Amino acid sequence: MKNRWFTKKVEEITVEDSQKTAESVKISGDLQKDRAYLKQSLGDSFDVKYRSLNVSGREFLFVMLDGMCDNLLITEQIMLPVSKGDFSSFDGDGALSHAADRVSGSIDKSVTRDMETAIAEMLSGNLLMLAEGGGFAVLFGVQYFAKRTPDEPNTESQERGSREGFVESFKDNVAMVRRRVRSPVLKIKTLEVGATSKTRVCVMYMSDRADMKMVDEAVNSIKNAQLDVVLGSGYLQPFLNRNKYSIFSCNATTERPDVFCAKLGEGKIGIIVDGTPDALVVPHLFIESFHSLDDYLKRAYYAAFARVLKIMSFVLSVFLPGFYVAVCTFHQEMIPEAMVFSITSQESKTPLPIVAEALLIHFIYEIVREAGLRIPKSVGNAISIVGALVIGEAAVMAGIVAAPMLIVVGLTAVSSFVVASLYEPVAILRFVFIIVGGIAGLYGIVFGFAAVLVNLASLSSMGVPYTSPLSPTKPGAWRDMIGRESWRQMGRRRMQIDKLKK
Amino acid sequence: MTSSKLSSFQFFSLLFLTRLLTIFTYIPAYTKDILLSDMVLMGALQCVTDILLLLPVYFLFRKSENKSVTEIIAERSPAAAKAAAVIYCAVFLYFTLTTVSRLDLFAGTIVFSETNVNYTLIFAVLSCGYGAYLGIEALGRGAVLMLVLAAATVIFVLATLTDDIDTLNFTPLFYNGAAPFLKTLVKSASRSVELAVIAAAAGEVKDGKTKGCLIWIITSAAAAALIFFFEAGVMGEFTSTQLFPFHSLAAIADFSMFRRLDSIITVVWLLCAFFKTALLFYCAARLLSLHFKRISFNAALAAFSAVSAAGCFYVTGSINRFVILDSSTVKTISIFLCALLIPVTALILQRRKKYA
Amino acid sequence: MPKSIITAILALAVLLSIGGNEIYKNDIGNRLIIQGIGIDLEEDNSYTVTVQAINTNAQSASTNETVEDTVKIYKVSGMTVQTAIKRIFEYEGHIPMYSQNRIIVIGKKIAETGIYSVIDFFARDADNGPSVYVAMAKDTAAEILEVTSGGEIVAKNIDLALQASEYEAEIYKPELYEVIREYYSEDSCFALPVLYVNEESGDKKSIRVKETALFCDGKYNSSLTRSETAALNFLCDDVYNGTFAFKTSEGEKVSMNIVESETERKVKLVNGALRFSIKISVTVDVAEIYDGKEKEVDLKRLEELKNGAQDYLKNQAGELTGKLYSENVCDVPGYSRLIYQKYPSFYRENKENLSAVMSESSYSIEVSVKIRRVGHENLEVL
Repeated sequence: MKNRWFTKKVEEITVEDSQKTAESVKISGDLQKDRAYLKQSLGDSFDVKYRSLNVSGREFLFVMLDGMCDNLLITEQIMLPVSKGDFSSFDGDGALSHAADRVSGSIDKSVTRDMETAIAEMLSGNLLMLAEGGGFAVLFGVQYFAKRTPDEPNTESQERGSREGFVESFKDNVAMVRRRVRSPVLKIKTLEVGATSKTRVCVMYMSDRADMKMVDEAVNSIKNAQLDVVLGSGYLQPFLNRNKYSIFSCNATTERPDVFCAKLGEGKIGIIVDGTPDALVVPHLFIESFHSLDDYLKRAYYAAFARVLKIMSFVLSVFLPGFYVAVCTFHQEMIPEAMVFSITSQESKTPLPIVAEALLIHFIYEIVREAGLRIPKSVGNAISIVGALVIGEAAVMAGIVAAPMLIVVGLTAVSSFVVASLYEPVAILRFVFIIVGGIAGLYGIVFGFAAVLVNLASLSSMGVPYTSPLSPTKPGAWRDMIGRESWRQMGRRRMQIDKLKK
Repeated sequence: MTSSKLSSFQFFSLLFLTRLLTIFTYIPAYTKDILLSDMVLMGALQCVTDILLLLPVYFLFRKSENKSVTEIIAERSPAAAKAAAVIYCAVFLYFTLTTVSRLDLFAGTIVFSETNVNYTLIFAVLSCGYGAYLGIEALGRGAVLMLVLAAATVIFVLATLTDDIDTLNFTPLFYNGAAPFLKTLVKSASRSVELAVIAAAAGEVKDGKTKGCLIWIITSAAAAALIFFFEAGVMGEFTSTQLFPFHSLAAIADFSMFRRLDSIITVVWLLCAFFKTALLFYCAARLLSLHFKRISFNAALAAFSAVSAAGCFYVTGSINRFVILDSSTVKTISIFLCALLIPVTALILQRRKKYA
Repeated sequence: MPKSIITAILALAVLLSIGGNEIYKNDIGNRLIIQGIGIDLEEDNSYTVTVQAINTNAQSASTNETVEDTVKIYKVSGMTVQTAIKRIFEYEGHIPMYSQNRIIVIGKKIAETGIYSVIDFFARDADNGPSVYVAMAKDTAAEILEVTSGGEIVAKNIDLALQASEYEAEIYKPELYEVIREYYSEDSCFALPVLYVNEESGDKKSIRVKETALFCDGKYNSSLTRSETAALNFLCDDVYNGTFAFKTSEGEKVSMNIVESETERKVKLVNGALRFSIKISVTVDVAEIYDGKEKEVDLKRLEELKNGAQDYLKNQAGELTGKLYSENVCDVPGYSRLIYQKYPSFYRENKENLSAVMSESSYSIEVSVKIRRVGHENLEVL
C-alpha cells in the first residue's frame, strides 16, 4: 500500500533524477564553435585545459583534464610528433587521421563523432584532439592519476594466498583478473551507470560456463538502475538483489582478485565498479559466506574444521545473547547445576532486568565498535582502554552489569568477526532475538528462528535458491559445502552454479 | 507469495515434521482404553491406516498429477469446488486451533507456568503467518533443513535413555481386547491432518509423490513406534499420568552434566508447531484465493490468521474449552471428509468427465 | 515503509510495557533456587515443609568470598504441600524455582500413613522434573534438611550420594517417576533410601544412607539393611558397580568389585503353580583377600573364590526373596509384572489375591560369577 503522505513529503525535498539521455551533438569541425560548446558544457573549471596548435596551417585543439592525464606523455608522445607533422595536403578528417598516426602506437586511440561521448571520455582522463574541418574527435588514453598500490585487503585477510587486493581503478582491477585467468573465455562487458557520475562498471564472466540468461539479467539490472551518482558497488547491490525485504544479501562482495576469479570459475558473474575496490559476485549462496580462500589452500580436513567453526560462530553470535536472556528469564531449569549458583548470585545484584542489561551492554558494544571504525588511529588505543574499562571491570564492580553477561557479550563480539561478511544481519538479528527472548523466552526465539529460516529459504539469487545445496537438496554439490573433497577429486569436475537453479 | 512447485522430498519433510508434532503432543488420556504395548503397536500400524485413507487420493492423482482435489472438482463443477475448498479451510482452521491451543497448553503447563502465554500466542500467529506468506516452497526448504535437526535431536535423546528401558514396564498386547485397540487406532488416524493437506496441496508437488508418500508413511510410523516404545519402556505406567509424556521422557534423559534434555526437545517441538501451523495457514489461504477470485492470497492469509488468532485467544486459558475443542469425534469426521469423502467425490466426477 | 517501522516500534514498546512486570518477576535474580524439599505431617494433619534454598547473597560481589551461609533454610506450614511452599514468598519475595530441586525427603509419619498425598504436587508440577530423587527420613524431614555444614549444600550432598549408587550397590535410589510408576501398579510396592543424621567430630553433622525402607500399598512396611539393599538391587537388575565382601568356606575374608551385572527374570506356569527363576550373572574383579597364609591365586583358588561369591550372593538373594514374598508380599522387584506380561489371563483371574499366589510360588535363584581380574598379585597359573 503506497503511503501517499510520506511520498508527498519526499517529493517536497527531492528532485527526480534525469534519466533522459543527452541529445546527440555532432562534432561540427568548426573549432571555434566546438570550443564554445565545450566551454558551455564544462564551464570555467580550472582543471579543464585547452591547448591550440597550428601545424602547417591546420589548427588543432587539445582538451584535457589537468590532474587526470600524464602531462609528460602528452608532451613527448603526442604534441611533439603532431607538431612536427605536415598536414598541408590533408583535409580536416585526413589531418586528424594523419596526426593520430604520428602518435606512438603504444597509446590507446579511439575516435568519436559525438560531442557528448568525446566530453565523457575526456572527463575520464583521455586527451581530446580536434582539428579544423575535422568531423570527428580523436581520444588518446593518457590517464595518469594518483592511485593506491594493490594492498592486502583489511577485511579479507588470509593466512595463505596472494597479498593483492583490488584498488579503485577498474582497469587495474581488470588487469589483476586477467593475470590470473589468461584465457579467451573470460569476457567483459563495460557499462556506464549513474546519470551524472557515468561510473564505469565491468561485468565479467566466463563464456564457457556462465549462464547467458544470468549474465543478461545482471547486465539489464545494472543498466536499468536509476541512479544519479554511483560511488561504490553498494549502490548496485539492491538492483541485483530482487529480495527487497530480507536482511541477508544475495550478492557477495570481495576485495580479493583470487577469490573473484575462483567465483568466476564456478560460472558466476563478477561486477567491478570503477572507484571502489569492492567487487560484487552474483549469484551468492548462504553457505558460501562461511567459505574462504584458505579452505582451498589448506588440507581438506582442516577446511572442514574451519567451516564448522565459522558456522558455530555465526550461530553463537546470533543466538547466544537471546538464548542467555531467555534461559535466565524463563527457563532456569536449563542452567546446569554447576553454573546456577554463580549466575544467580551475580544477576541478583544488578538493578536491571536481564533483557535490559543485555540490550544496554550490546548497544554500548556497538557504539564502541563504530567508534573504533571511525576513530583516527592515533587515539584508537584510548578507545580500546575506555571500552574495556567502561564495559568491563567498572560496570561489574559497580553492579550495573553481571559478569556472566560480559562473558556473553565478549564471546558474541569475537564470534561475530569470524564471519565478517554476515556482520550486518548478525548485528540486527542479535538485538531482535534479545528482545524476543526476553518477552517470550525460548518460544519466541524458536519462532523467530523459524521465521528467519523460512525467510532465508525463500530467497534466491539470480534464480539459484539461496539455501542451495542444502535445500533444495543437491547432493552432488555437497562435495564443497561444509567439508570439501581433496583437489584430486574436485579438480576432475568443476562446479557450475547454474546447475543449482530450480 | 512466491508460487512455485516444490519437490517431493521437501513436501514430505514438511509432513514428517507435522506428524512428529502429532506424536510429541500425544495425550494418553485420549487413549486410556489401550495399554502401553498396544500404544507402540498402534504407532506402527498407523502406516496401514494412512495407506488405506490415502487410496482415493492416490487413484485421483494417477490421472491428474499436478492438480489438487479441489482443482479436479472445479473442472466439473466450480460451485462444488468452492464448497470443497470451504470445507477444507474449515478443517484447516479447526486443526490450527487445536494445534495452537495444544501448544498453549504445553507452554502454559510446562514452559511458562508462571507467565501469561498471550505473548507467545501473538508470536506464534505472526511468525506462522509470515512463514505462510513466503510460500510453500520456502516452508519446504526450511523443513528439509529442520528435518535433520529434529531427527538428530530425537535420536540423541532416545539414545541417552536406552539404559533406562526396563522390560518389566511393558504390558501384554491386547490385554483389554482387540476392539478397543481398533477403535483407538481409528481415532489416532483422525489426528492426522496431513492426509487432508496431501489432498489439498499435493498438486504443488513436482514429482515422485507416490514414492515420497510411502517413505513418509513408513518413517512416520517407525518414529511413532520408536517414541512410544521408549515412553513405555522407560516410564511404564508413569506415561499415562503425564499430559505430554514425551516431554517427561526428555526430562528424565540426561547426558553428562546436563540433567534434563527437555529443553532441546522443546525447541524441536516448537519448530514442528511452526511448520505445521504455517502449512495449514498456507493451504487454507491458497484454496480460498484459488477458488474465490475476488480474494487475493494475502487477504485470505491475513483473514485466516486473524480468525485463528481470535479463536486461539478464546480457547486458551480454559481447560474446559480445550477439551471441547479437542474432540476426537470432530477430528474423525473432518479427516474422513477431507481424506475420503471429498477425494472419492472427485474421483467419481473425474470418471464421469472421462466417460462424458 | 517508515510508517510501518514506526508502528512496529510503537507496538513493541507497548508490548514491552504491558509485559514488563511479567518479564521482570521471572528474572533469575528474583527466583529462589530450591535444592531440597522435606515434608512432615503434623498432629493436626497439616504439612510442615522444610526447604533448603541457595543463598545468592553468600558471595560478595566485589571479592567473591563467602560471607554468609551458602544455604537458607525455610520452614513453612500449610494445609497442603503447595500452600505451604508458597508461603516462602512471605520471607523472601522471591518466586520458588523447583527445577533445580535435587531431593524430596518424606518424613516417617507421612511414610507410615501413605506418601501419595504429598507426591501429587511434585508429579503435577512440571518444573520439578520427574527425575528428582525421593528419600525417606529416619525421623523427620526437617531434621535432615536443617543440617548445615558451613559452605556445603546438604541437599546437593545427598543428591551426589544417591547418584553414587551407580558405583555402590548398597544404595537404592528411586527417581520420582519410578515412585509414581510403582504407585500405579496393582500393589503399589516400592522402596526408598532412608536418610540419617550422622554426628561427626565437633559440631559437624552429615547425612548418611544406612537403610532402605520398603513400602507396600504406598505405606511404609519394613526396612532393609545395606547388604539386603544390595540383594534388592540384584533382584531388580539395578546393579552397575559396587563391592561386596564375604567369607570363604575356609574363613578367608574376600572382597570383590562388581564390574557388571545382569539379572534375568522369568516365570513359568506349571500345573497352575508359578515358578519364578532368577538368574544373576555378575562379573567381578577380586579386590582383596585377607588371609595370613597363602597369597598366590591359582586356578583352584579362583574356583573356590568364585564358588564362595556365588554362594554368598545366592544366599543374600534367597533370604531377601523369602522376606519379600512371604506372607505379607512386598513385590518391590515387580515380579508380578512377569505374570502380567506372560500369562495375562491367569493374571486377570487371580488379580484379587495375587499376594497369596506369589507367596505360594516357588523362586529359584541361580548366580553365576565370572572373575575378570585378580589385581597385581602373582597369578601362579601364569
